[in-house]
Amino acid sequence: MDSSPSTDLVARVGRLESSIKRNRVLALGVVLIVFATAQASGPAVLSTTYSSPLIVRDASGASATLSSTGLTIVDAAGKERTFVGVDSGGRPSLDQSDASGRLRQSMYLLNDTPEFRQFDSVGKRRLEMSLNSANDGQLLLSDQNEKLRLALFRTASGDPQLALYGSDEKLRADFSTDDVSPHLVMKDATGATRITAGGYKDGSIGMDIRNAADTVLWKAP
Amino acid sequence: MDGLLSDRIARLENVARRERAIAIGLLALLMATGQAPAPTSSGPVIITSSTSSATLDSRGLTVRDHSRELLFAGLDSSGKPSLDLSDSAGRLRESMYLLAGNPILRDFDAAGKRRAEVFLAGDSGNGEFLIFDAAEVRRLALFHGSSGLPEFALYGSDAKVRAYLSTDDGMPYLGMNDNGGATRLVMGAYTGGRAGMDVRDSAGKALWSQPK
Repeated sequence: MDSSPSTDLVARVGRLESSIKRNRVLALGVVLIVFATAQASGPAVLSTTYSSPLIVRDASGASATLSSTGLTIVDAAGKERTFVGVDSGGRPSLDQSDASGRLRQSMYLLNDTPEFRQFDSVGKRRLEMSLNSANDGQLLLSDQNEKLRLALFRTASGDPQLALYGSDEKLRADFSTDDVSPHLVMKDATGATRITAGGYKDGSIGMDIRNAADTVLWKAP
Repeated sequence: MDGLLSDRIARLENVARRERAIAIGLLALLMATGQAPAPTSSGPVIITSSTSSATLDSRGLTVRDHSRELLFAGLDSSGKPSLDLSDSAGRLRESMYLLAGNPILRDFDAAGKRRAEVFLAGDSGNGEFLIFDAAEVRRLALFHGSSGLPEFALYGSDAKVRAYLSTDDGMPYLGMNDNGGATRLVMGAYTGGRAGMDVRDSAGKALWSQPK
């Protein structure tokens, strides 16, 4: 075998040159990856950016998942019990669910208006506090058929009112006031006013009792 | 020939040094800006600043101001979904949670007394709104009564009802009681579907009534 030192050197140098070319290609690839994926470090004391949800689990199987839309808590049985964040409709929301996973309480912005609702064990809305379309506060209680039975609210003219309703959702009593005087009105099932006490529309104050045909049975003064 | 080789080797050595420096720089850049993989952790994740900290564990999120817990959202120590807001002294002031599976929202005063709440009753699922005084005695209530009728009630500091306005599907009625519990004024529905009102003495005897 004819192998001089010079020939060996030439061969080794040739391999070295090839290796450098190969490494250069690899380095360029790394540079591309870095620029494609790198993110600037934040100004906070500690800032970590995750490209997928952060999940914290315990031995029972309960977990908390922090995603780009919020925080979801799942119990050991695998039921979602709490959500805080922006819901699937894009609404800021806090939801609490019972052990069966049924939503029982929710606080959120509905069409950008604040809303708080409580639901019974079969999913019926039974209590609601919110601002209405006029931005007036209201509290509504509904029965098991989701019929409104009691309401605290402001009327269209801005008067505060307490109202009671029958199971047909028709008004039976309202206790309200305007800037002149308060009044209490009681109605029967047909909607006829049977008792009025307080301020009348003409500005006088008094009370009267009527029968179902709207005949005044007694009036004072 | 040896001189030519020597030059080529010298050039290669320079290139190797330069590329090594580039590699180290890239590595440093990756360490500084690279994204962490999506982790699954068995321990809490804690984010701190000089004034507060947030701890995310499998039960939820807790935000503390120094040593005081200010906010908790998640499952409490009893496994109830809960949102708790505490004041700057660390006292619980508002809590929204499921009590025995039923929803409740409570507000507490600075002494820790329950002062207002809305909830659904456990047995019926009926909604209630209650206001309490500083002694935690119920003074005002909006609720469905035992027979499911909507009712507005006012109470004395002895927690006994003084006034109530309610309705069934027929007609509403208003009652006013004295501190002995006797009804002294009634207005609204009477038996038989008629409407009327009366004033009574403390023994329950009608002193005045209409219509005659």
